[in-house]
Amino acid sequence: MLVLSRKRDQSIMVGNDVRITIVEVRGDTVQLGIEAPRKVAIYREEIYTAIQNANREAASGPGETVRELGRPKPPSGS
Amino acid sequence: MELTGTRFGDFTYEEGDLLRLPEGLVGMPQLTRFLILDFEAELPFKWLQSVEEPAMGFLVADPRLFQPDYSLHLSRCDLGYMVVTDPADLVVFVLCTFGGDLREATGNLLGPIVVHAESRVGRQVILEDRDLSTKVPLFVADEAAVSGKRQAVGEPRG
Repeated sequence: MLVLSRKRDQSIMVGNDVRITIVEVRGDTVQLGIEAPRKVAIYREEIYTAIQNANREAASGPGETVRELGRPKPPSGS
Repeated sequence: MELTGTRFGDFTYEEGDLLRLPEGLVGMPQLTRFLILDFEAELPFKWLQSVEEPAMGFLVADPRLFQPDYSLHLSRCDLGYMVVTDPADLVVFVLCTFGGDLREATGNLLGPIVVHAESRVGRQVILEDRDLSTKVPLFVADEAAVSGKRQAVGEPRG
């Protein structure tokens, strides 16, 4: 992990397209401003992890339950 | 085109049937092409089948099955690369986690899949709403629908 020290109002460039600015420092909370192209997704890490875990759990449903649903119909185009 | 080796066997499909998530799913960026399939039985679920990894598939549902007043307020950041002029053009569904009993299935309302209906391009959006959970249980009043029971309505013909 690259560790940099920044004061309020200073920034970091990540690649050519992402800028992170220290907006406010209050106690143990840092407010970060992030400028990035719309296509770059930005999430609080713990939320990202929660979604990732939920996706994995959703992918692991038991085969028996799935088979009870019966076979899906073929896609409408075919 | 043929898709073989899914949990339900093989499927034939056309390119136009595909649902594309260019960024994949969160934590699964390699899953970008899917088929969305209806079941023969009348179920409030559909099956989101990965084309790149046939063993991977997901039970999906309308989020209102879990929270009837579910509504999305999507920002430009949420929509990302999707070009959307009218929110009515969007279809939203959620990935469901399930075990042995579908009545205990839960929906990930924090990370819905948002799809532009006509282009069939979508994205898994992570919502900033702290009240939403990745494991919302089915809304109780709809249990009858999940069990496959139907209620007779209206007058008999004649």
